[in-house]
Amino acid sequence: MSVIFSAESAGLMYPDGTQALIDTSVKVAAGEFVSIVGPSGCGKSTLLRMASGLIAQTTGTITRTGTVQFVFQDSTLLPWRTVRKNVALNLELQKIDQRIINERTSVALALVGLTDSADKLPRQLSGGMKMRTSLARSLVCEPDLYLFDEPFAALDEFSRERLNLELRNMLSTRNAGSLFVTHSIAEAVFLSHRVLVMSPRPGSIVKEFVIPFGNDRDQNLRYTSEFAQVSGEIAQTLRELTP
Amino acid sequence: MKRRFLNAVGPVAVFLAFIALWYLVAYSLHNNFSPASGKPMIIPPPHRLFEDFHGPIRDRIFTALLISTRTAITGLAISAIVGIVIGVAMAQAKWIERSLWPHLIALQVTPIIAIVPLMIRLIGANFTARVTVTVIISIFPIVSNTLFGIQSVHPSLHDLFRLQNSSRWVILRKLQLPAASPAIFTGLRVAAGLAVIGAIVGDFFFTKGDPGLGQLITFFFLNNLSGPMFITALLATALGLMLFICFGVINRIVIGRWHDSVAR
Repeated sequence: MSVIFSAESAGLMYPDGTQALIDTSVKVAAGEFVSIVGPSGCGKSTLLRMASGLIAQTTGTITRTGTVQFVFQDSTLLPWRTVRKNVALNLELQKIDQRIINERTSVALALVGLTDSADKLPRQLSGGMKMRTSLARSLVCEPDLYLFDEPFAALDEFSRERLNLELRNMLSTRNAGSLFVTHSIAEAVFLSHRVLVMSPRPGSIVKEFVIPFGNDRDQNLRYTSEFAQVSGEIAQTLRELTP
Repeated sequence: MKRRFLNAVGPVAVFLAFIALWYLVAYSLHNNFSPASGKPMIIPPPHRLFEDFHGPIRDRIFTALLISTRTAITGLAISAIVGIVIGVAMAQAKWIERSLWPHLIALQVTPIIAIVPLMIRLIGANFTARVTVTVIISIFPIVSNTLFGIQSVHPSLHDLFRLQNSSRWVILRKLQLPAASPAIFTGLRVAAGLAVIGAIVGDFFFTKGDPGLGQLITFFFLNNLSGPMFITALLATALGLMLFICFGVINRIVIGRWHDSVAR
């Protein structure tokens, strides 16, 4: 599999001397889903922002091949645009032909189950529907790399589990890589091929877990002893890292 | 149900109380009515407001209303355009904000009475000077609200546009201005009231040319025409209210569908 994102000994020091990340190495291959877990403030989101190019690393190298889409913690919808127009936004900003925008937007809306709500405004949507709109906005661009910054953190457990499954299904037909930041170990294990654990600030990757489940996953997986065992090992690693 | 009843009855009750207080003051004031003619000298009771409202007095009031309306609307339009442009410019670069902000504050805190004579000396006692005074008094809330509105855009939304390599112009057009529009409209509504104050207060100093409402109030006061004086003052209030309501309606049309402050 070709590597589409790679950070080699990347580090970030803020102008005030705060070392946010140190000697961080991550690779994401095409079609691979990698999650990052770690204590609050360890630099998970900072790593994601570096991966997107929003901020530049101060040491090491970062390599991206292909296009990137970022899914934020909050849905970041424009409240004056309808669901359809929000989904079309990124394509519109890329100055893509309107006919293609319409086609791809309709497909993405159908994929996230929002065709009937296409003409609604964000204020008329539930939290889950807003997040689906945000996902559709990224899906519609068909990027090579998805960056997810705790996209389901604000949702209730039921909506979160359902969207986890939907996200897996949506990405299963694509060959894009994904780097997913979360605080939920269960979410990370359910979604990922690999889970990376970060140390407290200055953050760096201290342990990697290869998730031993195939691509065909459903909600029942969460209740298996293997799932509990992997989740327990990750939780134990995090406990040891947290002072 | 009870809340709806109170919402409907509340404003009417306060208005009736105001009218009652007006009558009370008019009839309890010593020497309010001329012993010879019985005409009100200081405060006319509401039902006697329009006794002198006819012929040349009525024509003068309407002419003055037209002049003040023209001054306020022209000044407000200039304030809106210049204010939004300055607010946008300040939001684009910190150095522009730092350069202009102290001067805008100074302009805002300088009493209008201190500015008007200067304007007359600089520009003359003409329409341009009246409009300039109106702009000076009404521009600040538009600038500050435009700046506040743009600076309040959520950083993630900026990131969203930056990730698509959007130009400053695209970010301004598709993100910053729509997101700032509720704050800009609040600024415009405040400025609408201030523009009328600017047009009328400034007018007190303009002794040449056709009188606006401010000059006319002085004229009626000096000639003991309390009825027309009150009508002129009430028209000034109505002018301010009209502009305020106009912006309320435009606000509802432009952002009412999506913004929580309007959409219910």
